[in-house]
Amino acid sequence: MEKKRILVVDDDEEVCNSFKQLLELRGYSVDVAKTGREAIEKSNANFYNLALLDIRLPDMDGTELLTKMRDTIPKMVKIMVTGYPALDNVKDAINKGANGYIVKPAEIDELLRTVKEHLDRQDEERKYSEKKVAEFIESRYREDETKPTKN
Amino acid sequence: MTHSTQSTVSNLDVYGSVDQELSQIVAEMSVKQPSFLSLRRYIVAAALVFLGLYLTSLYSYQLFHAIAEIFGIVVAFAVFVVAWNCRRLTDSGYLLFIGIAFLFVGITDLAHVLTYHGMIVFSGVNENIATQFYIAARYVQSVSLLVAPLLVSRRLRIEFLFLGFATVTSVLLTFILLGFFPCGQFVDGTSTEFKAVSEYAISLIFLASIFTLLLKRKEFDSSVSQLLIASSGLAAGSELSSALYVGTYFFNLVGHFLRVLMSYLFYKALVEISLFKPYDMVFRNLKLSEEKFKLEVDKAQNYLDTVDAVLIALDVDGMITFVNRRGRELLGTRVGEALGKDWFDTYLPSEIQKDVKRRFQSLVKGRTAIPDLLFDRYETSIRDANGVERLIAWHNTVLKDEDGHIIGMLSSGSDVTERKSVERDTTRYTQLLEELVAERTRKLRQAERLAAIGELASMVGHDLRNPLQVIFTQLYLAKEYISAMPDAERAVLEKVGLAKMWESLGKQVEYMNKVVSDLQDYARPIEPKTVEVNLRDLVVDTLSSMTIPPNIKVSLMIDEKFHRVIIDPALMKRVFTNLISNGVQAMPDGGQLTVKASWAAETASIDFKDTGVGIPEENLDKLSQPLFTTKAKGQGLGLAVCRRIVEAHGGIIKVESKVKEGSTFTIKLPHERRKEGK
Repeated sequence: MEKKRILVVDDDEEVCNSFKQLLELRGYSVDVAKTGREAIEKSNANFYNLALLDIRLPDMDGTELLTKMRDTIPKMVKIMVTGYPALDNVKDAINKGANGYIVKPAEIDELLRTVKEHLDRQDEERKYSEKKVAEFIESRYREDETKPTKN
Repeated sequence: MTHSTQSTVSNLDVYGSVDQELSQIVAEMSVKQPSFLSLRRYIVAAALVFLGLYLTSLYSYQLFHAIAEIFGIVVAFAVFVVAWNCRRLTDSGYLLFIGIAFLFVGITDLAHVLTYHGMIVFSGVNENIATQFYIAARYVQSVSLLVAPLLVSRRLRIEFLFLGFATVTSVLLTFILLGFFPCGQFVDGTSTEFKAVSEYAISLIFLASIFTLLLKRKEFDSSVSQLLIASSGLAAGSELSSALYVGTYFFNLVGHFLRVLMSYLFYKALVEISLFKPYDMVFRNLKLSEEKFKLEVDKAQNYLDTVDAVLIALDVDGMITFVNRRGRELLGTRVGEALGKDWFDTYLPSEIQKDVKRRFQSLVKGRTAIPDLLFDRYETSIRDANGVERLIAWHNTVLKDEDGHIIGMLSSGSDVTERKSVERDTTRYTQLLEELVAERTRKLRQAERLAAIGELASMVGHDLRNPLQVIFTQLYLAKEYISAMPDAERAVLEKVGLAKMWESLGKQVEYMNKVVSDLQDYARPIEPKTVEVNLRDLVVDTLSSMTIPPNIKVSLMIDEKFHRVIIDPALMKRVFTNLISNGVQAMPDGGQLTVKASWAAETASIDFKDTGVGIPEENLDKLSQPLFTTKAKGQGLGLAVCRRIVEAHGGIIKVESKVKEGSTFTIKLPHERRKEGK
């Protein structure tokens, strides 16, 4: 099965590297971006199943970055990473399309579980939608079969 | 006559002297010469004198006559001497007039005695002359007594008086010696018509003098005027007796007795009283001015009494000589009662008597800090009427006599007891206020400090999150790598204890993370989102998420009706967690943890009671200060955060503790109106 692709966005190089190492160990393909701008560029050039977005970046807020990243199919899972959870931050992030929230420093098990859960759900959804598409095609095909062909 | 001197001394008491000083003198004299003459003895003495005179007259009428007349002359001269010496003491013309008149009367009487028949002084002198001298002397005497009372309030020039009387006397004596004076006696010794008429006339003039005296009696001391009236009456009687005498031996004798008595009374009125009662003397004008003076003194005393200050005068020995009304009220004494008492011994508390007395003595000896400035201010306690000590502020001035000798001290004092106590109250309130201000300032500084700490904590926490995250991740990776190693390689690492090291590092980092998050918790503003919560469920939930050691027994005492409170469950759960874990940590050897809820009118209380080690008293106050901890491992933010959360709910958190018995933390929350019918 093809490796899931993850983009880690954090201005701290060590955080990026250690997350990359960790996630790669769990079998993900990881890219890192240290600024909002780099993150947008990378997301435009490549497809990522999931992005871990630090809420505070040197050039823009993580929430701002949420709105600037291109929509993809399947939809990229966006998880916010922040120092301390503040209700306003959380509301803002979710309204702007964040799928999850992780408090930094995060327990590694919790982090991995969160990432995996979201990716699994993404898989489910993709499978569901593929199945729906297949069913749709199949039903249209059958409709064509049963209908007498008009000259 | 020495006896009579003594008798008059004692008789002065009969006159009712009011002058204390004089009666004191009299008393002293009485002691020296014991009074042995009552009125009865007095009469006996007089009778003996008259008997003696009578017997003398039997022996020699000339001798009797001479003694009787000379007595009168001596008295007349004595009156002059007194009048002369008192001339500057009185403005009254009376005494001076009488005194000079009597001098010349005495001279004339002396002439009478010396020319009396049978006397061998002037031989060959007409016996008639003696009678003429006598009549002339009586005229002058009676007229003087008649006129003198009218002059009582007049000022007379002494030289004119002398000149006047000298002239009159000279003229009379000249006339008599030259034979121009009417004949007084026939050759056979019987009276001439002139003599008889003169004696009636003189007797009337004496009586008239009583009248003039009565006219002016207000000017005289009552005892003096009585004596003078009696004396004039006797003089009149004597002349009458003489007029009736007509050669009768008896009447002549009685006439002379009466004259002796008259002279004696005169002596008493004008000489003796002058000597022994010099101040309310012969004339009341002196006494009047004394009364006036007394009135002035009374007035002054009234002024002093109206002064709302304590005035006390002391003599040099510290004896009280004067106390005004305010002073008497303070000391609780009546007028005169305190006089003569030792001020220091009587009214000062014993412990300060010595000092104040020493101070007083140096003052009355004229020793003050600044020479010539003989006053002094100080405050002393004194005992008032009820024995209560009162604080008096004194201003003391020394009193001096005319010669500048210090004779005592006048102290004016005001009662400052109340003022002092007000001052003390004010001082106390001021101190209290200062303490309050200091306390507030301290709290404010503390708050500022905490705010600064909070800000710092937030910054530190934020900056630590990345390193912590990296460490977490790396540790996780290391563990993963180790577990993924071939057994042989892993055995080498485990041999050097690396696995345990990782574990230890992991725990420490977890703890660091807790510190950081607590710091951030503390720094974060707390805004509870309250909902209705089942308290019992919340406590149970909290307990279930914690690990309670098996040696600790937990009991819940939460009433059924207590099920719902309005709180922020997430925040309150943290408070509960904190308090429960505190209790658990306080009981390392096990014990009983009780969570009890109770309901009062205004508040809901939740107690967390442990049977642990307890908290020493000195630490109780610091308990909810941030960064205070007694735990070897603890950052001391737990209770501070609890307190902030509870206070954000409008409640308070209290602690009661006894070392070795345990602690009880109590949360009191105001409960909003519970929703009915739900």
